[in-house]
Amino acid sequence: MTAFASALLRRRDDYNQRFLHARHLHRGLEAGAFHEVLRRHAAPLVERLAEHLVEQQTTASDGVLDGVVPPLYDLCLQLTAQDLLGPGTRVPVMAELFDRLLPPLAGLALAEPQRILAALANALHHLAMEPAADPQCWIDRLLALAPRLTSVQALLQAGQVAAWRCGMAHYRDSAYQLARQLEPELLAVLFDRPRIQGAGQNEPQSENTTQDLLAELADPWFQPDTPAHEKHLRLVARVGGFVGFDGPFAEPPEVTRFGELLYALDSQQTWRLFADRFGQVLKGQGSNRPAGKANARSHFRIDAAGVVSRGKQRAHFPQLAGWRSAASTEQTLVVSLPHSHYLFLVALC
Amino acid sequence: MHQRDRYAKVSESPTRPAAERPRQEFDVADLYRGPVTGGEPVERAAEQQPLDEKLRQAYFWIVNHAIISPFYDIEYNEAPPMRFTFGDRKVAITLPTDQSYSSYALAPLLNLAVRRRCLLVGGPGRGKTAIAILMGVLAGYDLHQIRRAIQHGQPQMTIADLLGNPLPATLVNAQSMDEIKIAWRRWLSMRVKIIDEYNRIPTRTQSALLTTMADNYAELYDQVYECPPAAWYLTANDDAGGGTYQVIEALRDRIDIVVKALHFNTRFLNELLLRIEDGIQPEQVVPARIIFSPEELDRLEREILAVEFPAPLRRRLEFFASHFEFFEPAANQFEYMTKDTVKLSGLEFSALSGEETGKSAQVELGSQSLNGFSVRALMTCIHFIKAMAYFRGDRAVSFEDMRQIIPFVMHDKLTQNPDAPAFEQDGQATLRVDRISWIRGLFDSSCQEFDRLGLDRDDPVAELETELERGLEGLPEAEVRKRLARIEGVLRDWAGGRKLHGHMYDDILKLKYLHQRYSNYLGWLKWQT
Repeated sequence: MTAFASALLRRRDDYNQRFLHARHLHRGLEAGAFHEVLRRHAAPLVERLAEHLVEQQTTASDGVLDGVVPPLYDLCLQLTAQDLLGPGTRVPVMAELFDRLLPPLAGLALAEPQRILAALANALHHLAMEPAADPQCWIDRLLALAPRLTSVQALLQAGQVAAWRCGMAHYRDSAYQLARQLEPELLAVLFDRPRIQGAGQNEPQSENTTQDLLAELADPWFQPDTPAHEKHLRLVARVGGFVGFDGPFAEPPEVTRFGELLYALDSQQTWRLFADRFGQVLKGQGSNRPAGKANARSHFRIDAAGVVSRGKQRAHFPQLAGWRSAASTEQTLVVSLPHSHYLFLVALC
Repeated sequence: MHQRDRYAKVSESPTRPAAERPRQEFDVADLYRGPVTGGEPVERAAEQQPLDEKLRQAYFWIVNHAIISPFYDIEYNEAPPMRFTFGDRKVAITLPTDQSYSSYALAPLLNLAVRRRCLLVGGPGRGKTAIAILMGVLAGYDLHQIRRAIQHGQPQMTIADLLGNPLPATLVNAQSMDEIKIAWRRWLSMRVKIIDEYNRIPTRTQSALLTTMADNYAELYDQVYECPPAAWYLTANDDAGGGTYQVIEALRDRIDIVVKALHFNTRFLNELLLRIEDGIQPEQVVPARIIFSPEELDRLEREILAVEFPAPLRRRLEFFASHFEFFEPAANQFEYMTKDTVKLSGLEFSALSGEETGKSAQVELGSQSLNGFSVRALMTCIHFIKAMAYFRGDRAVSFEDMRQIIPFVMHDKLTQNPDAPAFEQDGQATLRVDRISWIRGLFDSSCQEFDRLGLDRDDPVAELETELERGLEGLPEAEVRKRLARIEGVLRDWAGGRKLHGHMYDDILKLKYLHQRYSNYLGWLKWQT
C-alpha cells in the first residue's frame, strides 16, 4: 500500500467528513473529479515526501505524513471545488504546483505544510489570472532557487519577488522593498546575475554587486546589456487591446496622469497602468475618474509626427504620428492613438 | 487548524461594492491570499475590515449556506424595477435593481448588532431555532454552549428553571436573605439569549422573564444578577402570541422586531436532500472570519448609533407616527383625545368610533389601528433603521432604510383595527392578515400625504421649533410677542374649517407647548422689569 493510501486510511472517517463538508458548500463538487485529483496530483506528491523522509532517515514518518496529508487533502478539495484543479480546471497551470514545484520543495513543505501549500497555490492562481504575468516563469524561477532555499520565509519572500520578476508589475514597489532583504545569492538567481552567484567567499564583492543590481532594478526600464551612454528612446511595450479580443478597452482609450500615477480611460472604466521591463499591467479602478486634478507636467515631448524627445534624446516613431493623448512619468511616456485600443510605451533604455 | 476554519468560504470581494471604489493599493503581500484558505494569516485584512463589511459577510454566508430557500422581501432599487403581475387579482412581483435582502436572515442579524429583542414566528420546522442558534455562534459561542443555554418554554417551567436555584446549604444556614447564595443559570451571563416557544411558559414565569428581558437583571430571593447586554431571540409557533399560555402584554411589548419564518420553497428540495445526505448542519461550519468578538459587538453597536438620521427623514417618521394615537371621540379635553384614554376606560372602540365624523375613514390612517406608537417603539425603530443603513455601508439613513424596516419593528406594536372601513375596500382585506404589507402601505400613504401637504417645503411647526431651539436667552420682548402671534396665527389658520387629523393633533399640542414656553418667558421678562 502506498504512503498516501495508508495516510488516508488512518483517518478515513475524518477525510470522508471533510469531503461532505466541502460538498455542502460547493454543490458542484463531484466525488469522481476529486478522486482523480487525489490520484493524479496528491498521491505522487505524498510519495515524494515519503521518499524525502526516508532520505532524511526520519523516524515516525507516518506521524510526519499525518501532518502533511490533511492540509494537502484540504487544498485539493478547495481547488477541485472551485474548478482550479482536476478535469474541469480553469487554471491548467495549477497542476504544475503538484507535479513540478512542490516535489523539490519537499523539505520546506514538510516543515510548514499548511502555510506553504496555501500560499503557493494562491500565488499561482494570482499569476494565472493576470494576463501580463507568466506563471511558468514563476515556477521556473522558484525551481532554480529550490536547492538554495533554507527556510519557509526565504521561499515566500523569493516567491513574492519572483512574481514581480514574472510580470506582476503592480507589485513592483513592495516587491522591490522585499528584494532588498533577500539573500544576495537568491536575488542573483532570480535576476540572472551569475556574477553574484557563488560569490560567497568574497563577501565585499558580493555586497557591491548586489547593491549594483538593486540600483539597476530601481530603474523600471534598465537593460543589463546596454551601457548608460548607449541608452536611446525606444518603444518598450504595447499594452491593452479591444475588449472583444480579451483586451480591457471598449474603445480607443485616453491616457492621463494624476499625481505620479498613470491612468487609461475609456467610456466604461478607468485603468491604472503599471509598467516596467518585467511586465505591463492594467488594473481596473471603477467607472469614476481618479480623484484630484490631472497632472499635465511631462518629462517627454511628442510632436504630431511622432517625434519623441526627452532631454537631449530624440527619436522618431512613425506609428505614433497623429497620436490622441499622451502622459508620462519620469521614466515612461504613454501614448494612445485615435484608432487603436492599445497604449504605446516609450522609455529611455 | 480548527475544523470550522476548513470550510470557511467567505467572499473575498466586497459584499456591497460602493459606486466609487476606494483607491486600491497593490502590495505583494496579497500574492499569498486568494481562493485557498488557511495559508498566510489574514489578520491584517481582518483588522482593517470595517464591521459593516463583516456584518454583510455574515449575512451572505447565512443566505448562501445556512438558509435553504431565502426570500428577498426587503427590496432596494436604484432604478425602476421590472414588475410582473399574475392572475385575476394582478398579484405583483418585482425584480429589485439594487442589493435586496431576506428579512428572515437580516432582521436577526441586525438584532444581534443592536442587541435588542427579536421574535421569530412561524410554523414548526421552519428553522426559527436554527437561525437563533446561528446568531449565538456568530456571537462567538460554541454550538454546545448555545444549545445548552436555550430556554425551552414548557407548561411546567418554574422561575427556578428559568433563573436558578438557591444553594441548599446556604438556604438552610442563612440568617438573612443576603446570605442565600443563588446558583444562577448560565444562560443569564450570555450575550445571546434564546427562549424557544416563549408562549408555552406559564404566566408567573413569564413575569420573571419580563424583568430579565426588560431591565437586564434577574432577581431571586432578594439576590440580583446583572446580565450583560444581550441580543434576545424568542420563538413562537403562533403569530398572535397565543400558545399554551397567553403571553402577558408587557412581555409582548418588550419585543422589538418580529420576523416571519416563511414556508419552504419546494424548488429547493434537492438542496434539502443533499443536506440530509451530507449530514451537515450549517451552524457546525460557521467560518471563523464572520464570528464577532464581544469587543466587536460593542464597537458595532457604537458605530450603528453614530449613523446620522437626517432631519427631513426624521420629520417623515414623526409625521407617520403622529397618525395613530389621536382619537377624537375619546375625550372632550384636547390632550386626552387618544386611543389610550379609551383603552384605559375599558370601553370598546366600536362604542365610540361611530362618533368620529367628518373624515374619510378610508383616508384617515389612524382609524386602522387601535393604538399609537409608544416611546419604546419609536426608539426601537430608530435603532433598527440606523442598523439597516449601517449594514448597507451608509453613514446616514436613507428613506428606503426607513420604509423597509418600520413594518418589521411595528409588526406587533401597532394593533390593527380589523373593523376599520379601509379593509373593506377591494383587495384590502388581505391586509388584515399580511401585517408587513399593511404597515408598509400605511407608511407609503403617510408619505404621500406628507408630500401633498408640502411639509418638506413649508412646515411652520418645524420653523417655530427651530427658533425655540436657538434658545430664549437674551430674546427681547418684542420678538417673543412676534413669535407668540405667529403661533396663534398658525392655530387660527388650522382652525378655519380644516378637519382635525392625527398628524395635526401632535402639531397643535406642540404649538401649545411652544406658546407656553414663550408665555412663561414673557412673564419672567415682565417680572424682571
